[in-house]
Amino acid sequence: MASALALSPTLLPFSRHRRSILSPAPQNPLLSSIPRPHLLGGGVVSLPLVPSGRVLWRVRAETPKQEREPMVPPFNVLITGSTKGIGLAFAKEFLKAGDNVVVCSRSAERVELTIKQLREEFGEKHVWGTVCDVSKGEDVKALITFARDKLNYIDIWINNAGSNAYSYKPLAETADDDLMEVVTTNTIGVMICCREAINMMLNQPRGGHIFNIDGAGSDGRPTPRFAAYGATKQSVVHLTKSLQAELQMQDVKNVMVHNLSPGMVTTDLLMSGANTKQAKFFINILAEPPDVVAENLVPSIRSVPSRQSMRPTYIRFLTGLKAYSQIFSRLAFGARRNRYVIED
Amino acid sequence: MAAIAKLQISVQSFYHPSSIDFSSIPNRNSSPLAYSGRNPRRRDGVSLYRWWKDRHFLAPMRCRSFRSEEEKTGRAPLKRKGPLYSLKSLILKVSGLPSQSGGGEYRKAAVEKAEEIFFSVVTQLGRYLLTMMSTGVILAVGFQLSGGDNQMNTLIWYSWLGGIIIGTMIGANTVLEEHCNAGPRNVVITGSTRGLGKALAREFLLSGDRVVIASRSPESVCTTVEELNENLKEGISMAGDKGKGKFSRAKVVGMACDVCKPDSVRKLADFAVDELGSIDIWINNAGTNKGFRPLIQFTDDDITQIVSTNLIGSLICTKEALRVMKSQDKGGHIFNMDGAGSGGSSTPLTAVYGSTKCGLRQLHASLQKENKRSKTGIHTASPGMVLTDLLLSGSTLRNKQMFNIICELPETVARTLVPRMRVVKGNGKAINYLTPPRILLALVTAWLRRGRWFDDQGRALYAAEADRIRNWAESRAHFSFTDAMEMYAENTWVSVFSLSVVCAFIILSSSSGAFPGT
Repeated sequence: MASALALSPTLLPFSRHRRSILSPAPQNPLLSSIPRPHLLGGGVVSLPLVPSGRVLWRVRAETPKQEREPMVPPFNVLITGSTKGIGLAFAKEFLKAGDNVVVCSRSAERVELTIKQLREEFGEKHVWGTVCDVSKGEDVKALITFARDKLNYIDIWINNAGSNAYSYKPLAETADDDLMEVVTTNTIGVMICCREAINMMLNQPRGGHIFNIDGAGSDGRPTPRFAAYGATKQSVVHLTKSLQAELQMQDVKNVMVHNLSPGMVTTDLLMSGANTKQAKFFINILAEPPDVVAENLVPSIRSVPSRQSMRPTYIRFLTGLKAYSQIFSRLAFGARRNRYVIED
Repeated sequence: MAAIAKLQISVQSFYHPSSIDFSSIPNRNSSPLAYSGRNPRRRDGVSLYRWWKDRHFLAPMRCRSFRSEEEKTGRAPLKRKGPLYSLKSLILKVSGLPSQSGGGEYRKAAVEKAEEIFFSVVTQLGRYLLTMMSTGVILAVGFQLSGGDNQMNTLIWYSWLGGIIIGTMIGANTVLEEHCNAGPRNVVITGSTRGLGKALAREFLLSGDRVVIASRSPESVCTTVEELNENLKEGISMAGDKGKGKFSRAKVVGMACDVCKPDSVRKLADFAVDELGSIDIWINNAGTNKGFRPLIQFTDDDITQIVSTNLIGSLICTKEALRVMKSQDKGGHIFNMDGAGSGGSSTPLTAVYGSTKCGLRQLHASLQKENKRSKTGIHTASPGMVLTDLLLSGSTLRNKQMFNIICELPETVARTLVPRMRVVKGNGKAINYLTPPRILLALVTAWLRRGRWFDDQGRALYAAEADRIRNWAESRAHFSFTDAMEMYAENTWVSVFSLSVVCAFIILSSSSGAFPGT
């Protein structure tokens, strides 16, 4: 029985939310005595390095199906790290489409400035903003409270905050603080945000979608000169995958986690590394300004809730075909030379 | 060559009595053909052996160890004493003349070296001939028993070939073990006060290495150092006089270190350099998981701790190790430990742990690019599934049933990993415990492994660590077939396979030639 108890918390949050929202007991005896034959041991197959198959482990939904409200526009969107770069471009694009947006960032000043600027453009009633350090649990909880306060619910949550400490150096020369900052923001931040977002969305009648932004290295290819960044981005993609499996395992039907790949965007993060010949070459060929990327991606993001589908997606801006054709046109016709940075 | 001729003669002599009755006359007619077919086969065996010898035997160090072993066996050198010593004296005479005229220490040393190399080569050759002769005898007996039956003969050839291959593997295992024992390594292992880290530290220590252990808590570091010292003493007493040299420099020291604190890691690196002089191998073993449950049940602290230990810890430790190793002439080797998720498959219920391990795999690729030209090698080690707290926390009955099949004790895993870690060369190697042959073996023998670690109620059946260590010495001598299989790279297996296919073809074609009419 001890072993059965150990796993029972798996079911708890979901059952708690759906069944007895007020039930404070974390170790509900009723729940922990659920018969376990439907838990196949195969769930752990994914643990070892054995090439595991699909997760066989399904937890039966034990509550009657809740009525789900269809997700219709305008959507309520929350974007982390959205006072500059691609986050800001996303915010603008969503606002253009008529959605409501919550912006946040670590600096109060920048949040103020962004809100002011966006409100001038899109009106008072669509933009809200608060200070939030995504790697701090309390900050993210406060952000959720703020969003619930202003918008009542969130349909689309974009984990955009990411950092590279704006340095491109071999690992051996990278400062310790930079390493810490990169991992804290990119990995811990995304994990905490995902956890809080899932927690919030489970209770929402409309459900919700979470988008994690990937980056260089998320395909597993090496990222010399920014090894830590690459490793964190790979871990983000893997986290998305694991969360998808987890949600499926728990039979959660109203929340889904997706990956979102903006490709190369000419933000500070990328441009601070444009100091080698190779980097300049690829930036000129493949990178796009944030507003172009946002213009292309936001319709795809918005189509996910409009379709009412709960299937995991991986939305990409820079697809392989596109990248190769652009490289080809550069090599063949010299297109895009010196587009953003001067090559020698 | 003499032995081959001898072997042929002996086979021939066995053939004659067998060909008394009439039915086997075609066989005798075909015998030259069969022999011509056999010679290439023999050569294949030789070339395989040579190839392998080239790879493993050329260092004079190992050869010397072989010689000493050879002398102890006694029988073989006696046989070859005559020609060997006459040759030796001949060399001495030749070298003696110039040394008298020009003279000098240098020449003397060179002669000694030449003698040594010559001696070891002759020893090897003698060993080889002896082995071949004995297999020849077995073969001949086999042919005698088969009574000239063609199919039987084919079968005998096959088993002979199989015997040679397995024998080569066993030989390689002993050679590699001997090679491993050459010179102590200086090893730093993080998170090594329990579980796999401790087992690795013990294994390194008992291979005669100098180990620095590290963990967050100073108390557990102290107790672990004491325990490992005890193990070392036992190991020395077990080994007797033979082990004196091996263990002469073995020692273990420890220091409290939190891998996610840069200052702490820097202190550890400096401490290791102060104590040992240099660091040859750095193993980033520290890792944590905090139970199996969905992400929403992990607290902020849990997430921060897992990510700090697994990802930040590895980053900072690798950075410090690189710093130390860059200043060393001989470079060094850094190992990052793989875990669930490294392969990229999703890890529900351990989402945080899995994604950090997956990130480490990508980090490994980046680091390799960054350190392409340096002498520092960055590798991964994958222990597979090990019966440690990390795995067992929150495992269910059904999980435990599965653990029976695929899990191993940390000591077993360490015993396989450590010899490979010690001899690792180059950059970007992956040292895995759960390799395809092992998985295959586990699946094939799954039925036998049902009650290996846990019984039907999920109670642990395996002995506590202290008891395991007590029984450790004898199990150490135990030879594992899969270990031997692991010694070879995959391409070796391909070549062995193709070789046996070629052999089979030759055998079949030569034996079908025996019945030209049919």
